[in-house]
Amino acid sequence: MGELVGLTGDREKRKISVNIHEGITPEGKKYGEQFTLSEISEEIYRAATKPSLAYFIALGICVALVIAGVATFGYLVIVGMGAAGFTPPVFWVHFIINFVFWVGIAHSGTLISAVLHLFRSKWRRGIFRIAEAMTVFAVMTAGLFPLIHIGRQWYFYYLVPYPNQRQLWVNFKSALMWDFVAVLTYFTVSLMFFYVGMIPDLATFREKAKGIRRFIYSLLSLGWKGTDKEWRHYNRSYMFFAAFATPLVISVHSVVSLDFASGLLPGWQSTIFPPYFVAGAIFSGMAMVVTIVTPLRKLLKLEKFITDWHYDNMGKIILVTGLIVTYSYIVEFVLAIFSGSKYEYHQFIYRATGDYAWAFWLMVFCNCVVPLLMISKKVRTNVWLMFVLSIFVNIGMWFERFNIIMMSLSHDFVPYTFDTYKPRWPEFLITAASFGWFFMWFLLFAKFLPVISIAETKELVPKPKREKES
Amino acid sequence: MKRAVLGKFTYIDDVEKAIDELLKAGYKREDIQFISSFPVEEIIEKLGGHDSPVKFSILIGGTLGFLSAIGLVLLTSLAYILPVGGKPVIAWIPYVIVMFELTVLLGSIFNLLGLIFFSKLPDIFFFFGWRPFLPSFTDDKFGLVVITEKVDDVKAILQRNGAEEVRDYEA
Repeated sequence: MGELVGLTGDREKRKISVNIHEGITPEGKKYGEQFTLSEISEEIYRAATKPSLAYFIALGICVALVIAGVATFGYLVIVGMGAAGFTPPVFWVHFIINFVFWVGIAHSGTLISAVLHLFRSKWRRGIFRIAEAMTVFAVMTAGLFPLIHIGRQWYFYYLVPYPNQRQLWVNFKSALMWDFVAVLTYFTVSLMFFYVGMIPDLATFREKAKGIRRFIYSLLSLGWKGTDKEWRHYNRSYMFFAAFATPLVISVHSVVSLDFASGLLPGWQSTIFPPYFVAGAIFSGMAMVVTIVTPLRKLLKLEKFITDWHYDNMGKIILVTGLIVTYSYIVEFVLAIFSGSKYEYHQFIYRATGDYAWAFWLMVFCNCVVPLLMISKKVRTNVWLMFVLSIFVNIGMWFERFNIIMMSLSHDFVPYTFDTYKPRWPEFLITAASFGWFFMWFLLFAKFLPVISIAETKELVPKPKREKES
Repeated sequence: MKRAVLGKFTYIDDVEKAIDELLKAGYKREDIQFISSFPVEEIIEKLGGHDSPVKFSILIGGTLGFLSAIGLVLLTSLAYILPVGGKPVIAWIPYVIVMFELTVLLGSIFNLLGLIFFSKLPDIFFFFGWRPFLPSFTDDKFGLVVITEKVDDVKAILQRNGAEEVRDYEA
């Protein structure tokens, strides 16, 4: 427990003694005290209506990218995966980098909504809905890549274990099957968690909306009224969702890391991968929350709800996970140098000095150096600076996956097979389309669903009492 | 003939007093319903506590998930013998991941089903406007619904304790 001195004004006169976890507004109030109950409903409903011109332009760009991506995918289906620059020995690059990148992005949503819920953290309330939506849309994006990558999409259903006339069954000893099961579970649980958390807010929207919107909100809110009995079941159910989702945060990216760690390639077969991947996922996911929240709070005029306090805490998580990631990079090198394996040694020296050394050092700069700026509270509470830093982290984390996947594949055991990889236009276009797809869903979410939890924010407002008023 | 009496309140301490008086007058907890746009712990406590049978649905779902995962991995391994990576035909360690994931998956699905079932959702009567409810309950007002035959007595209790508006409906 600590003390926060008033963030503004005369320190002596306006010394505010509060639990450090409460958060203080510039007016010197605890977070939540600056709102009235009806103001919360009004403001969050307003944010979901009346799209601006900027919104339509952004949505148009996203849809155009998606259309371009679909056309490129069609081209790959007709021409074959060779058109995407896949040549031996590098068969897994862009699409699998994107898969791991987007699954990683999905992580902080569950961390914020589930883990911080179990810790009764109050600062999550301003941003957890956005983070949950990000989780769902990021997994929806990630899930496209194995499908694109396999080349013969019409055989994708072979992954599903079901009785068939071929009398073949899937191999549950394979890391790829674990991945399929883990990502499917993560998506389903995240989607349910997202939806359950929204039911009371959808009921609020139902009472405010008119016409077709009202009808849709009525269906989605299932006739929720907010009775004490409904809340009792809801609170318990929500807590169990959080309890179930918490180990999922750890398990999903651990399983994704096993895709590599259970392989034999130098640079992949390492027991450090699961914790290293989980920390990296939370690191990149939290950075993506900052990247999304910053323009969104401006666009939807939600500055009152998402404050410096939230940025301060998000910055702390980015800083801590960034340090873990840095530590993991160091350990990887130490293991390679002292393991006695010349293949490992060569691989890591190649990463730092080889054909793609620029990608390695870009990763180091973005993931190890840039987050260190967040040691300063001034940086953590500077919204637009945090936005810029978060983009650096996103870039760095994409290149982390590039280094792991591309470098190990292009330089394995036998120098005869060494090669470099040159991406072609389909990879770039499909990668851009994945961002378009992700942000398209996000923009639709922002204008149809409550971006901040109304019910949970109201819980922070002092309850109206006649005694207090009189 | 029982009717539902609905009171609209602005202050939470008024609601607490009204509930206390109703309970003192002999009305049962099951016949009193509090409505709000966010969970009010003290009132939930007063009207029956936080415990919910949802936990049993999760236990059933989780157990089903775990057992079905064991069945799935065992039967598929035996139906199609595929020795790989020097592992035995039935290799428990790699199967732990599948068991964990299916436990969580089915536990969560049953959690959602349990919430819907025990909260009696979807509420069809609500869609047709046949429930005592006011839109302002999703905003900044609180509601208290009492199922009773003594409509006038209940109305008097609610009004005495600060209800701004009192109505009665067919129960």
